[in-house]
Amino acid sequence: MTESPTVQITIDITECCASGMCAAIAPQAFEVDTAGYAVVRPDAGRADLDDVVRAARNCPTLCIAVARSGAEIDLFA
Amino acid sequence: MSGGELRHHTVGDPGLVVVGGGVAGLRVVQTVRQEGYTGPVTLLGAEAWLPYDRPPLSKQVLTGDLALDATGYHPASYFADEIGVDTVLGVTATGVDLARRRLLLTGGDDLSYRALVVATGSRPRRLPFVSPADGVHVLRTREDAARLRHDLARASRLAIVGAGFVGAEVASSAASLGVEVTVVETAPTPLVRAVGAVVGAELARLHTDAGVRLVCGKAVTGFVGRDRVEGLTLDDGTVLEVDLVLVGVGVVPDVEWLQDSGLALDDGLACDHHLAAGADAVYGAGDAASWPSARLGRRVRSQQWTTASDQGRHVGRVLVRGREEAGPFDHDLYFWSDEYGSRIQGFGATAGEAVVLARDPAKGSFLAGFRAGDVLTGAVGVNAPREFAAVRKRARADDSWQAATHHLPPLDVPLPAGADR
Repeated sequence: MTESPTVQITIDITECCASGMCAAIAPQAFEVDTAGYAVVRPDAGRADLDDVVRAARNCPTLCIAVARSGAEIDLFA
Repeated sequence: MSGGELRHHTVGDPGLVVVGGGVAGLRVVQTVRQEGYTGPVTLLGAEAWLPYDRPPLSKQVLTGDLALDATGYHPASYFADEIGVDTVLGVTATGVDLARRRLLLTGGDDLSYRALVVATGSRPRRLPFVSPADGVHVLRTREDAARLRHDLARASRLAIVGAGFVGAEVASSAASLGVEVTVVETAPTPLVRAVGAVVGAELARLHTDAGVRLVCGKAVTGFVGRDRVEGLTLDDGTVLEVDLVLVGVGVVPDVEWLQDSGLALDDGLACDHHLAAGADAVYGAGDAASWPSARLGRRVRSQQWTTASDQGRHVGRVLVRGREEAGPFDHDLYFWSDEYGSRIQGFGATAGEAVVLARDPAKGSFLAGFRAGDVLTGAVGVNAPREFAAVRKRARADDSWQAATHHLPPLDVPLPAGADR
């Protein structure tokens, strides 16, 4: 989990299916490890929030949660 | 048996050969390395590309949200340097000599193996009619996606044959690009065999709400047009005038090359509950393989990306740790689809009696559980990720209907009258 003053990104790694979709859509915020699983980059807080939300919404298992100032963003609002 | 075929490596042994460069094959080679196998690993792909992610081809790639080459899972340096896997691309296997443990390749070459994994996947089924040279598409590969994307940018009217997931996703992508779309489905409801009539009707509504025309209960009888497609004829005599067609009527497992090998074929390569194919050191994974699912109580050939991925990982563990330690393959058949901005998720057996568990028309949210007696066998949700996740997680621990469905985190509106919870 990476925190910045406003945006928190959390991956439920038990649900990650290693599609790499998040890293493909928002490479500033996500990368994949050697086995293909998603990792939040240390500097993810600087990534564009729209990209991060788009990556979370496109995750096959929806295992990425994005919160702004502590409030989780509803991906399908 | 203690340990799998790849528990130990001796000098000069030819190691692991994986046929098929899709996600199943990728997971096999990644997993044997994670499990500590240090011998040679060769990954053969019939396509010209290193393993890439197919699910976005009908969605993000067509809408322009993802570049075609961004679908690659890992660069060449990952295979060569990070995990030490030889990749051989553009090569097709033509047979296997089980007695000599040799894989036969096009051009008369062959390749020795200590263990072989068949992960050749599947190819789109075609319609049994003469097809015009241009404008009739299927979607499976990067090349298919590039051609379809090229034609979509120039098309005004698209007909999609088959309201399955690929058809629905392409319909959604095309509609978002401003193309007029008609989906033709033989069955009375989309995906009726996959999710039943109740959920199928919900999925039908996604099409019509987005302005896509859905024609159910009618079969395509032929194409109009010689050089370029001009339309489709239907079995009620009507003609759909279109300038582009996508055929999405399912896939066929790519296993014909094994016909004379002595390996058993039964809806793909017939594997056991460890995914072993009945011969020494031969395993199957992905769309090309079927296995006896304890959960569904029958032989299953899943065509889901997540099943292929998890089967690849399982075969990797069986190869190194052995069947006893790795255990039988089990999978809850999770799938997802993105259509018209909605996320569809499903798991388990989803063809029986469906019970609506929650619905919020304002958000387009919907969750149905599938029930067999007192057991929840599966669920399908639309825009209900929390509720879906809650049911799926609970069903892993206890699949009784009561345990899996009571006190779900509620959607914003009360349940419809008669919903059982």
